[in-house]
Amino acid sequence: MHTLAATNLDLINLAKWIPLLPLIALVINGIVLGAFKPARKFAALVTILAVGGSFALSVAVWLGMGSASEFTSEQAFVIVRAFEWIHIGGFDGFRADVSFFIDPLTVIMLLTVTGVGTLIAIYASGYMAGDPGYHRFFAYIGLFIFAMTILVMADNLLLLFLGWEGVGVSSYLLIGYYYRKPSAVAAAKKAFIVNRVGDFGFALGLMGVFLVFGAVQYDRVLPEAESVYWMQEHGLDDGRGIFSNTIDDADPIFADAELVIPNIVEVGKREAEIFGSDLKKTLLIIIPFLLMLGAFGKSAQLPLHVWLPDAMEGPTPVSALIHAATMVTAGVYMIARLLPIFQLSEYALYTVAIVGGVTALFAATIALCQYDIKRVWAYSTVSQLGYMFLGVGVLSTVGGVFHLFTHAFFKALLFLTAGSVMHALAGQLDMRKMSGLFRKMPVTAILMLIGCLALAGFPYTAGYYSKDLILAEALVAHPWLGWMGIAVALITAFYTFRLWFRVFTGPTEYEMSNEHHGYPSDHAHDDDHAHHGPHEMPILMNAPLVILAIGAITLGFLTHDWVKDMVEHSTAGAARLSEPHSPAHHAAHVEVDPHHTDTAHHDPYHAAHKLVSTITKIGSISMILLAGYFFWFNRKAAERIASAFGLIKRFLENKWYVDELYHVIIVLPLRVFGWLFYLFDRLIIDGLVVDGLLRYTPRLAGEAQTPLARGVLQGFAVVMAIGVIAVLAFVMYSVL
Amino acid sequence: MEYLTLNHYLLTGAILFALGVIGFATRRNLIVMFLCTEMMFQGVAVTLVAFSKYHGNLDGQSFVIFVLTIAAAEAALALGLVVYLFRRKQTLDAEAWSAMKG
Amino acid sequence: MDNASLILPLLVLIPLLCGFAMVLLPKGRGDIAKVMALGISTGVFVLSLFACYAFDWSRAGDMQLVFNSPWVDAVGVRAHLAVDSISLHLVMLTTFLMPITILGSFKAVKERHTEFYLWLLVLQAAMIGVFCARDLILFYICFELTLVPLYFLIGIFGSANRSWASIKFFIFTLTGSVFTFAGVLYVAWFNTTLGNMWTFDIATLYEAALQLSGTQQAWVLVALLCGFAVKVPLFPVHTWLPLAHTEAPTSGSVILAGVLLKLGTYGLLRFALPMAPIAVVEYAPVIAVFSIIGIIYAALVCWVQEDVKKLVAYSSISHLGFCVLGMFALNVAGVGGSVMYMINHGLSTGALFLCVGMIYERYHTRDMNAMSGLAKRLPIWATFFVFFCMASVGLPGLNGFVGEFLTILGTFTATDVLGIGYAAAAALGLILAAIYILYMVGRVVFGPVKEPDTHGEKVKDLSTREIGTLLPLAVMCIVLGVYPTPWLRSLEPAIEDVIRPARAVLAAQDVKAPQVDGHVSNFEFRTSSLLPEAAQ
Repeated sequence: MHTLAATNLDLINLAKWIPLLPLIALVINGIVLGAFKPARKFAALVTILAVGGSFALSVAVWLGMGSASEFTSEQAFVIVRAFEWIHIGGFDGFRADVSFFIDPLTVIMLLTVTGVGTLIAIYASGYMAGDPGYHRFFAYIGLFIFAMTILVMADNLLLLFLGWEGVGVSSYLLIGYYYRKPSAVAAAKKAFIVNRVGDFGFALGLMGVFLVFGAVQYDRVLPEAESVYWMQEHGLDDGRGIFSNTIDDADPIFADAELVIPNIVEVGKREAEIFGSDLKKTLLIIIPFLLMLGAFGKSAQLPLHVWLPDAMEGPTPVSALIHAATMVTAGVYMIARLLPIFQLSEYALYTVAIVGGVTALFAATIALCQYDIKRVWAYSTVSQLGYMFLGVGVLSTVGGVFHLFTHAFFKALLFLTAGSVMHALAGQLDMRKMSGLFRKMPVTAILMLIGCLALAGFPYTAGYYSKDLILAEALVAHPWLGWMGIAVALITAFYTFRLWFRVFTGPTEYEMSNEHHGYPSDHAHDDDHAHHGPHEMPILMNAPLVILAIGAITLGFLTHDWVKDMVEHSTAGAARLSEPHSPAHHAAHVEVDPHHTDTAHHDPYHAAHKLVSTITKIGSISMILLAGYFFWFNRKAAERIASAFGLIKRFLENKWYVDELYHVIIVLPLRVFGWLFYLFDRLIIDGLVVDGLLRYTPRLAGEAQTPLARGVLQGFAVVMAIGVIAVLAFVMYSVL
Repeated sequence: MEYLTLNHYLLTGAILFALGVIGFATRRNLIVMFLCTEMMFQGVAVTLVAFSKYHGNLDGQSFVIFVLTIAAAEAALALGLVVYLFRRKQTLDAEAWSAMKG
Repeated sequence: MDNASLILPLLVLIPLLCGFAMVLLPKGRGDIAKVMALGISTGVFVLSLFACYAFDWSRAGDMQLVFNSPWVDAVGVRAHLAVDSISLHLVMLTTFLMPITILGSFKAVKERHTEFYLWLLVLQAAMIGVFCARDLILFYICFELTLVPLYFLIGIFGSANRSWASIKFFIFTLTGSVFTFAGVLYVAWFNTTLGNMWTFDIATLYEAALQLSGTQQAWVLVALLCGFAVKVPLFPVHTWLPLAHTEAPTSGSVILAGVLLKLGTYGLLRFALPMAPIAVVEYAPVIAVFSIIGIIYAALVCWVQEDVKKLVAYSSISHLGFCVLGMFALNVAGVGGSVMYMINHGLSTGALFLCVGMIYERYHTRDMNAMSGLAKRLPIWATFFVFFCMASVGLPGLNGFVGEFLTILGTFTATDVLGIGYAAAAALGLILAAIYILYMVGRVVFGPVKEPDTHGEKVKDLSTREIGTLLPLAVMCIVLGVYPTPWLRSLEPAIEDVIRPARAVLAAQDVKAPQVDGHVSNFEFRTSSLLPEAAQ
């Protein structure tokens, strides 16, 4: 066991404040500034300070953790307890606290979320200036960062779910930010509902985890899942104990951070229980698929990808922050975090990889034929997320998380520069209506070029490193997926530069749109933009972009080893203990499994790596050149080729008609059922049974007696007498 | 047959009651009908007193006192109603009031 | 008898007597009436806070603050009031909602003020009575007494089709509860056949009910369901609810959704689970299926509504389905979730009805086709409305989630009674809830601004009074969502008591299963044999 001298718990304890600061920003912006109009211009400042503060605290937590390899090689982590949340059923019952799980993976996510979040908030303070809902916007951003930090810091699945749904709501509110625009409202609704479909799976998976493992806290579930996996592989009698932490029942309200190192305390009891129950064994197979559904919903993978492109209705900083850099990667994070559980089901990770790979290809083909700049980036995001899933699916968690990390930078950069273009052209996003903008806005053009290079995997940019990592491991694990991924990389380079060349090169032509703060404006003449035409953005907006651009270039070679180190010493790395090409595995289990030698497993990996990097190097550059030829020098040729494939082009432009398909097979039938049920309710249950049968039966019974009741007193008397006689007769009869 | 037995009293009560019922069912004049109901009351009262004497306790007799009291009150009320009804339609024929016809 | 024992009778009597005392107010002085009603209900709320203070939370499962005095001695009816944590939380819900409701109807009621507030206070007394009663007859009297005020509230102060709505509501629920009464009377009679005196003491009847055979219990369960399922309302006896809601005045709807529906679930919890455990275990899947049908069916029906209030009304049916489902999971998580759901649904749906009422006061319509984009006109209202909608769809961190999650979790883990399939089916309700709620939000709050004709009246955003009605609810929604611990902790022992007989039946079933190959008939044994301590 390591000595943990470098770990500074006091610093880590600050983690409590990371979600709290954005929450405070939400309250200030939403309530205080909501009520006090003149101060609303400070809304951006409040949020920037809060998110920036969270970033500073994240850095502090990172420093407090010491270097990752020093942190521990035994999957230690720190738990920071805040307060008790939902406990029911006594000692064996369900427990989920508001407490935070700090390990290297969490820290990477925190740094990404709060760092990119701060930069985007700064950009947005310029981008959204003058918008009537300024404070509302920044309140929502506060809500989002709050939920997202909760999501990545949660120490149990239920708190993760809180963050999960929280980001869903803030995404809903932000997509529907321009709420008077019907398309925005529809897109927001769609995003939330599609996410709910995923959440449905996630919630059930969570309950399954509870049923099988008796807990939802990572510190109990993950080690147990690992030892169950161990036993699946090696048999029950192999006697590796279970990692289990006994948690003291002390009142955890604002207790200090504590370092937890999984101990071997109990031998195989719960494992035996799990293997003894058919139900639990079945659940183990199903759970990863349920959780996966949640991940696919949040990260817009097939078949739940439909919401993300529509989500571009939101303001552009939102698209950059939520729908590119952070929220949509939550699914990747979740699978990486819960990798031990996913390993328990034979085909789970393979499914993840397949869905990731197929989505990557699918979305890339659509991106080829879109004309709306933001939609191209949206499909590109779906495609890149597919890569990440492919990465974690082939157990390249380092690659997946690394790509997540670099992607956050270059995709945010791409979206924000797209936002700058949009801002300059009063909302114009159609790339057919703009050309040669380089001369008008060179800084933006160069910034976007950097983003494009990274996305295209141009050698030695950030995207190149992370993508290669994934592709190489995919090639080893499932070659067909690896080759598919390489194909996608080539398509990506092509569509990325198709966009860039179309927008920034060629003759300078453009057509202004007439949007003003998200809404079509009738008085475009009064608009500043209309007078000035395309122009550079102010320094406030460009400064964050420069930082992102530097990141997009340098993060690859600067942080490659750091991320590898961090991820391998988190639970995502721990899951690879028993995987062949993990160094940790060899260190820990060399005696147990002497057949696995280093060379046997490193060779194919290195060969694949070389192959991939050669192909992508050549491929990306040639694709960029090809795009340059078609969209800079010879646009006519591009059009000719496109028209030759008219049918396919239409098919891709319409996004494979998935929306239409869903409408016909899901939305319409449900709606029809709604109407049918309503009619059934009104006509059959209420109409026929209640109002008909129940209401008219007594009335008819009454009607039947009318001949006797002629309204004459004597008649009543006779009836009464007959009644009395009947009763008497009955009594006499039964007595005698 | 020198002594009056319980049966005599019961018979008297029953005859009174039966006369009342028949009268109520056949006559149309409201006041006569009302008198017939009174006759039924008395039939029941005679029966109650007879049983009271027969069983040797005072339950039946006290009950009769109740019945008489109630009957007196009811007579006052009913006659008042009859007068009121007569004023409305200038007739005492029971068939004139058949609003309860189903 | 100490002072604490007077709290509960006072909680019932103060609103009742003060309510009737309002008859003495001079005619046409509605202003006095509403202030007085507000004062009384606030006073009752403060008194209920005292009850919380006097309640010993360390033994939250026991019946406390007991008031027990003879009433109709001849047949053993007693005025017996006491609360455990379940009852106390529901009493708190009632007393908390009432001042808010009264404050919310200051403007809405235009005439016959005195009557209006009188009936509200009487209603409150009856509801508190139901939750506190430990005597069957008292329970039943209060249970039926709730019908009368609501009948008048709907019948006099409702909208166009009010008279039919009130009659239907009355007859529907009355008919059902007559059978319920017969069922519990049967248990009381059964108690005398065991050689005991006539008594309607609920605790005594619990013990007597343990001697019932399975078949007898099945009949008792059916009788109980007749009344309580109508009240809940469970599919397919729910049709009175949308009608009653759409016709009722805002405050009537708030109380109806907030508290009255819970009388049904509370009744099931108090009578069905402990009195007919064998039958409950046997028929839990059937009831669960009806709950789930209700959840999905009502949610889909919500989606095609044009009237906002009707939509919220149908959503209540869907929500209460969760409540019943969790209860018949027969474990602590499920039943606990169910009770939390009662509280949370009262808060969030009550608030939604208030919001809808505010719109109706302004535009005199609730038709979704006639309005859209109200966020522009009424930003504060829109914020509250979206907030409560989110609470209603069960967003984690807000109150709705706790109940919803726990009911589904309970169902999921109750592999001996219900199990995963039921939970998965019910969880579909999560998706459908998002669909219909967002459908409503998207049409009413968002979208291009479109307002109904107000005939020149200027439409203003919420007044301070209106914010005052919604704010406490919003705060409670957050508190219950973020820190439900005190509630959950205190409910647990009480719930364990409630489900003990049913758990015993389940435990016995497990033991017996191997002996009677395959299928075990529950009706072969009596609960009393499973609970040795109860037989003494």
